Amino acid sequence: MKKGNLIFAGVFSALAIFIMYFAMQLPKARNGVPGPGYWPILISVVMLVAAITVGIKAFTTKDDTPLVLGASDHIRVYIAMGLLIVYLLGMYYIGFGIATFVMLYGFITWFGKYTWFFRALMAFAITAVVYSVFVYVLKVPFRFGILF
Amino acid sequence: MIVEAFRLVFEPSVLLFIVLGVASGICIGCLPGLTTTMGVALVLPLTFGMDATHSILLLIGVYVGAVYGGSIAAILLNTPGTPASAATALDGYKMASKGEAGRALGISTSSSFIGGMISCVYLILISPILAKFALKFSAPEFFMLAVFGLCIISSISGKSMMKGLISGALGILLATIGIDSITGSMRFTFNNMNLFSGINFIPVMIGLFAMSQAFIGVEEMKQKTVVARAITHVFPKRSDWGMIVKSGFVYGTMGTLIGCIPGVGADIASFIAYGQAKSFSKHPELFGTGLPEAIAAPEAANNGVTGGALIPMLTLGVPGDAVAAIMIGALMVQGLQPGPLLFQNNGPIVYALFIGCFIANICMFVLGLNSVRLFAKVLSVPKSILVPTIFLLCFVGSYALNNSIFDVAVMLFFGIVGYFLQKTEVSSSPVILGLILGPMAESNFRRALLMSKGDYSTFISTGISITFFVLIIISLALPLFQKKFLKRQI
Repeated sequence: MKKGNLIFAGVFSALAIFIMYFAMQLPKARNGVPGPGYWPILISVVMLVAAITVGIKAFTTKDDTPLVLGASDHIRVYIAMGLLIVYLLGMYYIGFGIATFVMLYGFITWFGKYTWFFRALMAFAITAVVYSVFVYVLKVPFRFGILF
Repeated sequence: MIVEAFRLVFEPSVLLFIVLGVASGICIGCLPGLTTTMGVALVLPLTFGMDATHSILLLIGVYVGAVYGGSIAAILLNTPGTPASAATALDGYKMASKGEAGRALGISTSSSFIGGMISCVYLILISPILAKFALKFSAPEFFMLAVFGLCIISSISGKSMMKGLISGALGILLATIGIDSITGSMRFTFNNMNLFSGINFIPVMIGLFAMSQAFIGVEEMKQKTVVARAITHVFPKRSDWGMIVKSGFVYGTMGTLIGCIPGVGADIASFIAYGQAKSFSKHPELFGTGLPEAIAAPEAANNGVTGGALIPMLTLGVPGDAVAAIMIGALMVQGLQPGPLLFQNNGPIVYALFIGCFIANICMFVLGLNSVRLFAKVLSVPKSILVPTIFLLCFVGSYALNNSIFDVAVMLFFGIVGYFLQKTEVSSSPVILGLILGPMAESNFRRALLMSKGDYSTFISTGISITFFVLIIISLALPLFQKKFLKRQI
């Protein structure tokens, strides 16, 4: 976890500095009343101090449980994340129905061992139920994409 | 007011929603990997079109059901359905291995019921008094209360207090995005119109609690689940009832009190109860071998937390745990602001919620004893279908809030962030609580300074704020003792 904690500390230290920089551009305090930048700076300082503490602690302690993020199980998660980004774009540009059917069919094929008919049936049924509940019962309009 | 509350709750559709909520909660809780928070976050988007009573009682049903449902997987699979039932697995699975799965499930159901009912009684007794007291609060007290809530949550909810603080600070900073309510200045919007009104915490919540958990499901996709064993004689024997009632009262009370403390969830309560039951037992050496009281104590305590967590949420606007934070979101979507004024302005809804909690616990008891075999079948739902369905529900749920694709992108982003936070052992709860408590803390901080003309001593000028100041110090010192205490308990 040592490596993980160092990355964690580095990311959040950078974020705190980034926020402090932008918060300093905001209007200053007037008549002792803090301006809009005061609060974010205060919180960023807390974040920075905490991140540095995590970093120092990571340096000084033994690495007992190494952080593994490159095993095949993790790579499967990263691919799933990427596919979901593609699904988001597909949903926006193509349409909810088609993109969702393809996404479900793809994931069920990838994760399970079923016949093509069962996969298609499940993908269609889930898409139809979710679409019907949200569009007809909850009146959520899915108005995007060039197709359905 | 009470008559109006009864009228609201005893509408057939509301009762149906409570039953549906409890049943779906039990199913969600049953499934290892689906947490209570995830379940409530997934159901939340379905409530956007409902009125306040239907909405909040459906969520309470899910909450009560899911906390109990976790014990089914804990007993039958030795894999807790939710973290709250991890302590139950220690003896529950051992009992099931001896062929007493039905008895263990019966004890868990009955103790959960008594613990839940006790917590409802405390909820009704304490909430109005606390709300009345909170009416005395002004800006400095509310600021100190928000800081106290944030400190205790950050210090308790994860393995490392510093990581908890970072997580809480991230939530507070996210809440600063948008137009500043006092000066009207744009903060961190980078000329993006979607950010002008700030980041809505509901997509963030769905991302952090549901989507990230679904990614964990993808990671554990190859792990096999053992099929549930035979379940017989679920209704507890006469000889077990004495122990169940006693444990229900004692550990239900303990769970309620623990639940009142912001950030201390059902998982911690159940382990503390397990530890206490062990230390009071005549046979502590038998704990871990399949003792009935070792199931009754944690189950009564974790369901006791359900009512306890609602006390600070309803009276002070400070969520007792992550689920209560989602309920704050549900109330805000309905135009209701949790806090002391909720009791004055929306009394019937608050009392309807109290009555609904009782009904949800009764439903859980009835469904648990009669349909546990049916719920156990949920354990065999394949992950290969469940996980893609959760993906879809996260997308649709976050879109449904404002019909905005930007919210879906926010949800996906925080789903990815939440996954990496889990990998680095950082709790996501402080992010959400920071998002909720951040605006409360900031606005009261600046208002207090405006009223005192920049005098910072205003924050320790009254007895209430000094008390909160002391509590903040204690909450920051608490993690030093917490680990030692929990280790000794187990």
